[in-house]
Amino acid sequence: MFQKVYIPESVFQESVLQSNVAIQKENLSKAIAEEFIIVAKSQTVYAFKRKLDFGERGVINLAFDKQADFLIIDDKKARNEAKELGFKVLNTSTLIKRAEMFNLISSYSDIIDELEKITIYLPKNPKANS
Amino acid sequence: MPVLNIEVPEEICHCYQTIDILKQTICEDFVASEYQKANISIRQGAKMLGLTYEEFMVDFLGNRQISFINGTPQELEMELQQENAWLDKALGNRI
Repeated sequence: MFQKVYIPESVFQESVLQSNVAIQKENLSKAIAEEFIIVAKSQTVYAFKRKLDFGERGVINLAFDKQADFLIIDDKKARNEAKELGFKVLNTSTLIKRAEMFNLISSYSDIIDELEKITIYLPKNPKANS
Repeated sequence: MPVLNIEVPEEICHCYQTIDILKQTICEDFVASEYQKANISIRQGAKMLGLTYEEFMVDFLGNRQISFINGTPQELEMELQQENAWLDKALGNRI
C-alpha cells in the first residue's frame, strides 16, 4: 500500500527498544532492516495545543518535516491535534481493513481474533469500504 | 491536583472488601472512561495508574476489552468513512 513509512525516534524507542512484545520488536526490526520503515529524527518542534505523548509529538513533528501524505495515529487526542493541523490521519483499524480489501491479509476478523488472544483490542466491526 | 469528595451509596460500598479497593476501582474506571473519551492519552493513563505504556494498553485496556483506538462508535464510523475516502483517492485499486 505504501512505499515507505517513516517513524520518529520516539516511536522506535517505544515500540522496539522498550517493548516487551517480542513479535512486534521482531517484525518492526525486520521492516527497518529492509528499509521499508525508516527511523528519522524530526527537526520540527511544534508548540501543540494539546498535551500529547512524546511518541505522538514525534509523529506529527516528523510529518511536518516530510510533508507526509498520511499519518498513522491511534490515540484520539493526537488524531484530533493532527487533523486540526491539516494532516490526513489514518488509524490501524482502517489500514487492516484496507489490507483485507487488497488481499494482503486473510481477513480483518482473523487479525482481530489473533490480537485479542494477546489482549489487544481494536474496534470490532468497521464497515467495509463501499 | 484537585481533590474530589464523593458520596458512595452503602449498597455499592458493601460490594468491596475495603475502602482502598473501592477507591482503586473508582480511579481505574474513571481513567478508562477518560481514555475512551480522548481526554487523556495512553501514556497519561498509564502514568495515572502507575503502569507502563504496554501494561496500560495490553493489560489494563485489554482486560476491559477496550480498543486502544479510542472514540465513540459514531466518531469511529465517521473517521472510517473519511479515511477510506482519502485512501480511495490516493491508492485507488493499487496495492
